[in-house]
Parts: sequence; C-alpha cells; structure tokens
Amino acid sequence: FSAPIELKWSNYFPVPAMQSKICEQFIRDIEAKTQGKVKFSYFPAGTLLSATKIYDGVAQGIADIGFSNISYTLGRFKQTETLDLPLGFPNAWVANHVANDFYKKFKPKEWDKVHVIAMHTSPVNVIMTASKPVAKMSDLKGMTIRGQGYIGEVVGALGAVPRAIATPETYDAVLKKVIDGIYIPMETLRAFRFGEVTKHITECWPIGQVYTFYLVMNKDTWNKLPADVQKVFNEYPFEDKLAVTWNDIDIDGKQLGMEKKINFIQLSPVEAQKWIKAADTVVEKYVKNMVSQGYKESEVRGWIKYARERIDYWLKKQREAKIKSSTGPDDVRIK
Amino acid sequence: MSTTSIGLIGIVVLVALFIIRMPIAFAMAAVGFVGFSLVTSFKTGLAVLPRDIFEQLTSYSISAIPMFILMGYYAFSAGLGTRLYDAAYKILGHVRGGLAIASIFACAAFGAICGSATATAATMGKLAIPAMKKYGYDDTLSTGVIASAGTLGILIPPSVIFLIYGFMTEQSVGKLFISGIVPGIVLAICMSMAVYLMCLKNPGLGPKGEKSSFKVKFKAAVAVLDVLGLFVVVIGGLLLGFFTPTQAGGVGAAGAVLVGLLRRELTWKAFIHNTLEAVRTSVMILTIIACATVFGKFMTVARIPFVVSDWVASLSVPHFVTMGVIIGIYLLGGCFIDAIPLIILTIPILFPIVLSLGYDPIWFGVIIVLVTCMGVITPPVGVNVYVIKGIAREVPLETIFKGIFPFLLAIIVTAVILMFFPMLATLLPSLVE
Amino acid sequence: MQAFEKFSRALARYFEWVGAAGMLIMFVVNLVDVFGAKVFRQPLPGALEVLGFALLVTIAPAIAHGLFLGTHLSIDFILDKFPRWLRAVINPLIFLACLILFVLICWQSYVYGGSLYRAGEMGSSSKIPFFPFAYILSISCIPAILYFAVQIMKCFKAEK
Ligand code: NA
Ligand code: NA
Repeated sequence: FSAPIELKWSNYFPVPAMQSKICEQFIRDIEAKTQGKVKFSYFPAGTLLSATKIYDGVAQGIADIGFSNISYTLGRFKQTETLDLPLGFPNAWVANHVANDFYKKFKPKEWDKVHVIAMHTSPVNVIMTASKPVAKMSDLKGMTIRGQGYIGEVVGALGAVPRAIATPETYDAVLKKVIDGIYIPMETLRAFRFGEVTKHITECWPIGQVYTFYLVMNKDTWNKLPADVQKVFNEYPFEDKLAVTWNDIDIDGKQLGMEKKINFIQLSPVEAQKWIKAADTVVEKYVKNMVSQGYKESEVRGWIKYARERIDYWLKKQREAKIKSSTGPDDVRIK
Repeated sequence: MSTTSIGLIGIVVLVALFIIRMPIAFAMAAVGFVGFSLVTSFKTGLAVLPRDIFEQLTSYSISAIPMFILMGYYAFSAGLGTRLYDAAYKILGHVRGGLAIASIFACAAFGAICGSATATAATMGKLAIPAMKKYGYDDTLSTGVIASAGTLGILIPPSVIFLIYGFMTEQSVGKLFISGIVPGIVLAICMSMAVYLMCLKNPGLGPKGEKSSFKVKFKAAVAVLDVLGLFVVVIGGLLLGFFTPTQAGGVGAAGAVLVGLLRRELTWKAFIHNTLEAVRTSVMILTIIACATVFGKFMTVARIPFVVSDWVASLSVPHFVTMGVIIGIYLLGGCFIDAIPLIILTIPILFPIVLSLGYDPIWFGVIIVLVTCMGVITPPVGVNVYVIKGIAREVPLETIFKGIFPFLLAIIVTAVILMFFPMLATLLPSLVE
Repeated sequence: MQAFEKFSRALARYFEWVGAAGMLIMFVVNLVDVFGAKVFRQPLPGALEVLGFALLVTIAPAIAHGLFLGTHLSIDFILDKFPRWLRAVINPLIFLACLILFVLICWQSYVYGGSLYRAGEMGSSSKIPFFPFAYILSISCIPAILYFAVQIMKCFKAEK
C-alpha cells in the first residue's frame, strides 16, 4: 500500500456550471476506478490557472490536468484552429465527434508538449442581442458583438464590430450596453446568466462555428502514472460523455430561453446563403494566412475538407441514433 | 509536512517579513514563490512567478485603476479638486468635519460609476486629501475617511464583488446590484455620523469654518460647474452604459486636461509632472496586486480556503453562531488575501451552508460585500490603505490605519443593522422582476 | 561605489520615462477607442489588448525608480522600535531576499518570453505577439537588481 498519486485538476468554469460538474464527475469516476490510487485536487473558476494560462500551466506542471479552449491562445494551436472556423457544424454532438476524429487523424504537433486526454467543442455559436433583433445580415451593421479569435473574425465578416471581453465580464457589458450582443452558444443563457440581459437570438447554425476545447494532462505526470492507472484513463469514455454533456446543456439553455420568452430567429434559406458566403471569407483568410506561414495550400485545404466530410458523416449518425440537439436542420433540432 | 501546514507557516512568515520591513509586494511574491515551490516543486514555482505577474500586468480590467489615477492627477493639477473643495467648504464648512462628510458622499457618487473600491479611493483621495489638509483637517481623519469611504465603490452598484458572487451562486446580478443601494446609503450615513462624533469629541480633527451667506454659497457652486460637468459626463456615461470603467477614467482624464487648458491652469510642465506622479502611484498599487496574486496562488494550492470551509461545515452550533464564524473567517481572511480569490475559493463550500441555515442568498451577498469592505482597509493587507498611502506619501501608514478604526466600526454597525433589518437589503430587489 | 549608485539611479529614471510613455499610450489609445466607438461607431480593433500590453509597459519599467524614491510600501513603524544592531543584521538580509527575487523574475520572464515566442501566441483580436512584453518584464528587473545590489553594498560600508 502506498500513498495515492495526487493530481491537480484545473478548470476556468464557475462551480455551478455543467462544465465544472462534468469535471467533478470525471474525478469521482477515475478515483473510484483506480481504487484510491489517484486522488484529485480540483481547482475550478480559474483559481489555479486562468482560461488563457491553462495549456501553458499544464505543460509547466502548475496543474496536472487542464480544461480550456484554444481561442484564448490564438496562434498556439494553428492547425487545430481549423476547427474554430465556421465550417457549418450543425450542433455540439456532431462537432465533438468531428474534433476527436480530426485530432486522431492529424495528430497536430502543437499538442506534443502534453498528453491529450480528449478534444471536445462548445455548442454552436448563435447571435444574442439586447438592443434589436437580427434577422438579416445587414441588421448587424454597426453593432458591437462580443467574440474573440476566429469567432471575432466571423463577427467582423458578418458586418458587425467584434469586441474581445472575458466571458464573466460580458454580462455587465451587455447590461450597460457597452456591447450590443454576444456571439456565443445558448448554454450560456443559464451558465453566465445571459438570459437575463438578452432578448433576441439568431440561430445562425448554417455557418456553424464552435469553440474547440481540450482536456490535457502534463506529459511527465502521464508518463509517471502506473500502467493500470493509464489504462483506466485510456478506457474511460471522456469523448462520449463530453459530447453528450455539451449537447444536453445547450438544449437546457435553449429551453431556459424559451421560458424567458426570448425571441428565437431562424435564418431564411436565402439569408443563410449570404451568411455562409460571408463566413467563407474567414475560412479563405485562414488558408491564406497558413500558406504565408509556410504550410502547403493543398495540405490546409485537406484539413478543412476532412472536417467537412466528418460533419456529414456524424450528422448521418446523429439521425440514425435519433439524438436531438438545440441547433441544426429541422429533423434534429428541438423547437 | 502536509500542504496545509506549509500554507499556515507561509502566513506566519509573511507577517514576520512585513514586520521586518520587507516591502509588502515583494514579501508576498517571495513567500508565494517559496511556498508554491515547497507544495509542488522548485521548477513549478519558478514557472508560476513570471506568469502570474505577467498576467496581472497585462489585464485590461486592471487598466481602469491607472486611468482613474491619471484622471485624479490631471484634475488635481488643473485645479479642479481645489475649486471643488473650496465650494464644498463654503457650503458645508460650518459643520464639524463637513469636508470629510462631503467626501463620503462624493465617494458614494463615484462608487455609483465605479466597481472597484481601489479606484474609488484613488480618484477621490487625489482630490480630497490635499483640500482637507488646506482647511486644517487632521491627517488621521482625512486619509482614514477616504480609504474607508472608497469601499462604497463595491457596495453601491456596479460592483466587481457582486458580479463574482452572482456567478458563483447563480443569483441574479441585477438583483444583487440593486440590493447594495440602500445598505450603501446606510453605510455612508453611518460613516458621516462617525466623522461628526469624532469631530465633536476632538474638534481639532476637522475644524469648523465660518458660515457663508446663501449668495456666497451660490457663487461657489457656479464656479465648479465645469467640475460637475466632468463628473456628470463620467458618472452618466458609466451609468448609462456608455463607457467601461477604463474608458470612463480616460475620458475623465481628457476632460480634466481640457478644462485645465481652457482655464489656463495647466502648464506643460505640470502635465508631465503629473503624468509621472500617476505612473508612480499606479506602479505602487499594481506591484502589490501582481505580487498578491503569487501569494494567492500559494494559498490556493496549499488548499487553505478549502480546509477552513470544510471545518465550518463540520460545526454543530446554533445558526447565528455559524453565521458569525463565517463572517469572522472572511474578516480574518480579508486581512491576508485579496477579496476576489477568497470569495471564489470559499463560496462553493460556505454558500450551501448559509442556504441550509435558512438565510436569504441576496442578503448574504450584501453581507459578504460589507465584510469585503472591511478586508480592504484592515492591516496588514489592506489595499485601500496602501492606495491612500501612495497618494499622501508624507502620512505614516500607522496614522492611516489609526484613521480607519472609527469607520471600521461604522461598517460593523451597518452589518449589525442589516442583521436585524435584512429587508434593507432584500426589499428593493424583491420589488423588481 | 558612488558612481555605481549614480548610474543605477539614472538607469532607473530612464526606465521610468518608458513607463510614462506607456501611460500616455494607454491614455491616447483609450481615447481613440472611446471616440471611435461612440462617435463613429467604429471602436479601435484590439484596443482592449493594446491597453493591457501598454499597462505592462507602464508599470514594469517604472518599478525600479519607485525603489529609489521609496514609494514601494513597507510597514516601517514596527522595525523602528527594534535595537540598532538587530536592524543592521536584518536590513542586508531583506535586500538580499529582494535581490534574489528580482534575479529569479528577470531570468524566468526571459525563459517565459522564449516559450511564448516559440508558441507563436498572440492577442486574439489585436494579433500583437505576447513574447516582447515578457522580455520587457525581464529587462525591467535589471535596474531593480542594481538597486538592491547598491543597498547591500551600502549596508556593509556603513558597518565599517
Ligand atoms: Na460601485
Ligand atoms: Na485587509
């Protein structure tokens, strides 16, 4: 009998958020399955590492495990940023599976400094506004919308002015009309209480853009784990559980919005084509940028093509499994 | 040795270093670094050191503090502060401690635009302290009143602390904001009474001036219309959501420069001199904030807040005793740790206890903010006191801490009033839906 | 010795001018952002990040001159009551601790800058790379290190 291996788990989400609850569930499950060989210290709400510092902090060993998203560290995960582009992800369930396929297929070397436990993604971003409804792309002209990284790029491509604000400060910014709206998933209606300050939601899933998340472990920590503990981590269904959770919380967020009588707007087919065309300029910009940094154009386009193929594949799977989502085509979307 | 005991020893060592005059900021960074290294590893401790300092010093929300300090210095050098206080003196000067009382309400007004206790104290201090000195007010009173009344910045909405509490406990931020208004006014009144009573007992603290005629008062008020105009732009802009705090500080600073140029009171030399002074004051405050983060990380990783919260959860005593213990913990914790990490780390464990004891969550939010108000002025880690010290450099720290005491009592009285009349906090929020 | 102190002080003062420039950059960028946003409905893209970076340029280089001016806070009223010989022992130790702290921050900020450079991380809306600012933090420690070296030398000189 030896003392348990202590692991520090770092997450930037507030304690009541589902993203935090699922980390706690992982912790309980792994502790039980390793029969006390592993013991976690859990540091939520950015108390050990803030959102922007989680990857670097895990690589440095400040925390052993970290949960964050790549938009906070623009430029660090250049190849994986493909997944942050508006590729037409219909919903969280599909996007989560695509992200893991993408990672496994290409194994981008930007993740070499850590052990990747699972990739995952947020639900699809929608436009939430407080001042006026957005039914057409032209309505966005002159509006200031919160979004950072490639999410901000899309805001700009659609004609609005992007503004990078930390998520917890966004509530106040909308309340005080410092910004007109937010480009973010519907789950935040509950998690960040945006349901209190926004009135209209434009479900722009035809351009389907998500935030790409990661769950990673310090490499030394991983290498030092006994084989049986590594086995528990390898066999635990992180990916499936994350996909289901992200999908469920967005449905919950949407239902809260319905209770609060928020005005939900779908894009007309003609309008959707306009949005897709505008969003495509961001994809092209990404390709150009990567080429200028020495990547082969065919290679970069290959990543995008692969991601789009997997979107089609997993949407088909979703239909077969009769899983409902908050966003996406009529037959999979809750209304 | 357990991580918790390393954490506790760290607190003792920190206090010891303060006593032997290691600069506050560097003592916190040093203890934080060594402690973090002991709990984890030397390599990890080394990694934490530059990362925490770098992150704090590149944070947009913190940039509001230097902007408001800059506004304070420019307004001061443009003669705005002097004229404002000349007017306040003519209007309220015949009351004992009248200028100090005027400053409390000025802080309350400023608190309505600014979410931070530090920024409120920095801006008002730059204006008020030299003016009070001019009219013969004692340093103990003038510095103590601003350091303390600055805390109205987090009680009167908007407030950083309410925002964080709202997210942590899933309470409506709007309701929390509204709940702070009445207690904020009560606290301002209690503080004013403290000033009045102190001056009654010791008239030398805030000498009484001559009573001016209505005509003189009116003239004095007209002479400060530009100051009021600037104030209205900054306050109004923030209240209507026109500006973020950083933007408001910048606009205020620009307005002050403009007024100074128009009235030909601001020279090029004064502009440069005051910019440098604003840098010096900002450096002092932000160095402490950045280094406090390193120490806070050490406390976090040593799990001190968790251990304390778990202990409270295990108590079996009457409800009000548990509540008293909780308040005591925040008071004690507020002496050593910055309020924000303290709340983030303890609320998840303490909040369910508070709910199960049957207390109102909004009311508890107000209590937390009140206790935080005490934390920012109590030694040894009392950020507001350091801010004031940065502005009134000739005043010994000891004097400011002494000046705090009556106002600490005023905050405690306000908290007791809220204990007996919780509706002062809960009535307004219950009216809105 | 005196020449060394004079040099350190002058260096710290030059660094403070960098801080003043940083403050004015914050001031101007902030104003351009407000007027752009409120008057022309076109805020300065990436203004928030530029302000954050300018904040570091304001604060870090000016830390050392604050040491020469004595503006960094410490609690002095307790130590003043200590006997003279004890103060003579404590003071150089405190300066040494601070010196070591700043050497560590200097070194580690440099290492951190290198890691940010290799990672290619940049501000998400301004596209300004992070690494130069870590180097600024590192360089800013040099006059502070010199200050503490001067103080330690002074302690030993006074004893003789
Ligand atoms: Na306030
Ligand atoms: Na305190």
